[in-house]
Amino acid sequence: MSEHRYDEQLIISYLLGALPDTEAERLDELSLMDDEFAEQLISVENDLVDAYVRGELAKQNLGSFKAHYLASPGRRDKVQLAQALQVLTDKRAEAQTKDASTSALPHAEAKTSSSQDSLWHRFFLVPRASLQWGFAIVALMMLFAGGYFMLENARLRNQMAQTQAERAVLQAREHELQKQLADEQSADAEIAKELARVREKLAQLEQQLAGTPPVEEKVVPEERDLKVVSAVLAPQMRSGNQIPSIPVPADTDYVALKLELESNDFPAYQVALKNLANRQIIWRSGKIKITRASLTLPLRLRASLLKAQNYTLDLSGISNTGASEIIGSYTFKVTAQ
Amino acid sequence: MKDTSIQKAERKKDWTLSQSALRQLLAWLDEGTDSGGQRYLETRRRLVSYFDRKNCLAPDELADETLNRVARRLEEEGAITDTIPAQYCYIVAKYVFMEYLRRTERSQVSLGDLPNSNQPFLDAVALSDRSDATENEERRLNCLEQCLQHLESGSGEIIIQYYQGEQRVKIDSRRALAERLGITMNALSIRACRIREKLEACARKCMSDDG
Repeated sequence: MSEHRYDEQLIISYLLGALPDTEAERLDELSLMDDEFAEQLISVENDLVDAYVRGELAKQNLGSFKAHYLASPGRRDKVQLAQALQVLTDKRAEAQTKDASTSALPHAEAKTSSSQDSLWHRFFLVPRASLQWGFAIVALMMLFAGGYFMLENARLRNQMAQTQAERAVLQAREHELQKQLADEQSADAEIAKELARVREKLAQLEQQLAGTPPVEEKVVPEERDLKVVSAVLAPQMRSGNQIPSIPVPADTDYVALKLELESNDFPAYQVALKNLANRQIIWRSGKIKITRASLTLPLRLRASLLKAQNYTLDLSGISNTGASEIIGSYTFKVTAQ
Repeated sequence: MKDTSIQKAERKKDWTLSQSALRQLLAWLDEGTDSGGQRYLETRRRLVSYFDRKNCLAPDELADETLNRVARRLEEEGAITDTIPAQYCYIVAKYVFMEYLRRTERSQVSLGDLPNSNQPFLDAVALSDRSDATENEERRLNCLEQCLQHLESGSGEIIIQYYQGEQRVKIDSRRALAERLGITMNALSIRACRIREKLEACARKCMSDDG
């Protein structure tokens, strides 16, 4: 019982001699000194003996009970008294049931003979206790069954409500995720636009960088005059088979080139610097715009881009629609000095 | 003149519990309150149970021996103040038990040498197979019936209802009884145990009177 301070199983082990000596001695002392323990000990002992008498003793305790508990004449006497008490209480219970059923007989006799003979009255006047107990048990079982079904119904309803709630939550989550996806896609589009804008701006800046004279250059790391090598290049076919050579001293900062144009038919131009041997693009310019009347296209390359080898500059014209078309090539050779 | 140890031992053997010693013992057990001897009876009962759990053959005698020794010391010393009564009784009971063990070890006889009438019984239920078991059972039942009649009013009904039924029915019956009496299940259990003790004691006396 939850009201008791001491563990019932511990007391049972104590009574069956199943505890170690030190623990048993502790409980021996408690049995004399602690009023609550002493009372609980009697109660547990009585329950143990009654369980044995009724054949309800747990299997694991039966052996110890017979070997240890029944070893004492006093305790055997207690078991016999418990058996007698059980018989007495059963007899009394049966007698009470009989009294309860037989007390109904005088009322039955006072009624008319037709009602006495009715099945209804015979049903209630059945004196046999076992049949009455049987009916009581059946009624009890029906009550339990009814109660069980009611509980089960309530449980299933609750489960259904929970499932519906969970479904609603999942649907809401689905909407939320869809919205999030749409937002992200829109964000991606925005990012792509931003990227294009940045690239355009970068191209413009590079063009400016290519077109402005050295004195406007602000990124020169040191405060000194820039060393620039200049050259004018004609388109491939006009220059013939000879590849012009541009000597570039080691301390050169920039190589300023002027590309001669056969015609100025495009609103903008783009130049790609390639390694003549493997045609690999080393550098590409942004959009370069020149005045309508001009037939030369200025270009400035960092000297650090160039080694002592052959290069070609592919010139492309860019139309208003953005379409690009190679209109010329300028081959040259860089030599070290 | 100082008593020798032999003279002391002889005085111990000759000592008997007098009225004054008994009164002194009762007062010491009561620890200031007057229980009307109930504390003494409860202590004796616990001592009997203690010796019975130790499988001693005469637990009543050993319990009386314990209380006699306590009373003798009280008479000799005037008071025992170094420990509480229950603990002191336990300490004395342990000594009595150890002496009992030494005595039984010295007088041990093998089971094979015991006459049939002194052979220990191991199973109370097996006793019912013997020819006089039925007669004993009837006497026990009659004694219980009589003792039930002599219980205080209401106690008989309580004990019958407390032990009626099986398993779930018994638990429900006890719960209903506790509710009817206006007490907790724990209190009902204690009350039922006390009534049962009285019933058992009465039934044992009845059986021994019938011979």
